[in-house]
Amino acid sequence: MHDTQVEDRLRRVLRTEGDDLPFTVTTAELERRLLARRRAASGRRVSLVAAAIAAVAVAGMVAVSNGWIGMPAVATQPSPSPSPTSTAGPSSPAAVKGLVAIDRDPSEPTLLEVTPRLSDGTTDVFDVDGVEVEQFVTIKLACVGHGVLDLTVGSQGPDVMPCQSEGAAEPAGDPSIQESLVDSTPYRVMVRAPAGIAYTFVVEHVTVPDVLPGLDRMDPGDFVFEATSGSDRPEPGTGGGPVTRVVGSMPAVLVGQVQVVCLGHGSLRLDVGRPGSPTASVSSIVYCNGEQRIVSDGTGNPGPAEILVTAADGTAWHVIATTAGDPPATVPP
Amino acid sequence: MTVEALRRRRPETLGDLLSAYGRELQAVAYLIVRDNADADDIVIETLLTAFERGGEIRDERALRAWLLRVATNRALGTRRRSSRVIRLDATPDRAGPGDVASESTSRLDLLEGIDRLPIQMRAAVVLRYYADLSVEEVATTLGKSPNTIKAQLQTALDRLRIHLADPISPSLSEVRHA
Repeated sequence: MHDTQVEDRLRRVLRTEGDDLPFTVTTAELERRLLARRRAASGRRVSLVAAAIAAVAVAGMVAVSNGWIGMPAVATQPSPSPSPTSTAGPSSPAAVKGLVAIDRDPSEPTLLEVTPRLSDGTTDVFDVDGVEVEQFVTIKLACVGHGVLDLTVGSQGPDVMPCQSEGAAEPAGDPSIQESLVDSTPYRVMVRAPAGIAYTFVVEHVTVPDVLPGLDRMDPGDFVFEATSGSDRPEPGTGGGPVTRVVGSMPAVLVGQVQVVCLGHGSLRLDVGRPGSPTASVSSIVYCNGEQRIVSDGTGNPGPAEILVTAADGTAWHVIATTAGDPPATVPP
Repeated sequence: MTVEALRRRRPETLGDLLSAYGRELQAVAYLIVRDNADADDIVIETLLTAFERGGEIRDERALRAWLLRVATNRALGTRRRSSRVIRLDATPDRAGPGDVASESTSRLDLLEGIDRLPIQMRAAVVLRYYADLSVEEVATTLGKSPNTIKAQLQTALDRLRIHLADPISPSLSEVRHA
């Protein structure tokens, strides 16, 4: 049998096998998993810290017994790290070919700068010093090489980042920019990438405004409702858990969108749900750092939907709901 | 589906990604891991990764290749984790009367042969012959050189040809541990 015959049979059989599969994944399941993923992040923190402490102890003993302590580090502030860890591959022009320079924000202090380095396939661990819990930071990372890079920041992630091939015609592109909320100290950034991938990143402080910024009304779409927490400044919380409030309702529309900005305690959850239904059709987590966000119910609302805000007591927030598609059938008073 | 929509992280993007790429990702994942639940999980995780990270892709044409890359890497990871599990139901029933059964048996023989390929080689076969990626695209997806992929595909074809000629060997115990 010739190769072409085997290839033809392969294509037919694989197509039949692949295309006949029942497809059961739904958008609702995706949204549920997205929410669960974000919730689970906070739960992983404790076990991660415990594992790190144990591993640091072991690594420390091994380092002492082998006389490794005192070796120069390549990264600006690499920490003792969980096993397995990299011993920091040296940067070299060949290793960083195509790696873009990261533009830093001159108005924000740089908390950590990791100079270009070459992964050896193990996990590199860095501690970000000088941060406090509930502080916002920005991570800007660029990588180049064959494969994907796993980035774990605090208890978030790991996120998978594709890296640009070294031989690509285009430059490596803009660095990944990720907002993060410091949820533990020491605050740890872990990078795991296949051997040969070069990367660099910086962690910058994010200055949060004192007063809740105004929302810029979006051009398209009709105004539906506006709601606020009643204060434009965050106030000390009572220490209780987050509180959920129904702040308005969206009529049946093709696409509804909600602008939201908040300031204060960690993050805010915005749900677009059906009245009487415990399951929200859209849930979105918004960091309360004064940055405006837009949450859109792309699946549309066949019936009226409630907009719910869940936030810690004392959080200042502002919400404007508009339609983004067909005009609403009715606008609630 | 636009990279711009991903960049803006609008929730409807999830549904758009699912309808545009969900079936293909599911098939690729399933053909590598041969487990429906694992394949569904890989689809979900891949699309969530795209939702959270895909906005960094500048070239919209690269989105499909990037999604296949993430899904394949996850499939390879899943397969590695479960490679020690002996799946008795993974061995197809080859008995069956008549012409229909003969056609079915031939198909099952080929699938069994694919299952016996090393996991990286199987992923290359799936990306080349199901997803219709070029050799260069398969190489990029798997992080290998095109020459390595060409050699893997040729070896896979040779092994499948031999398997189709004599589907009984090697022993079933090897199939069950593949």
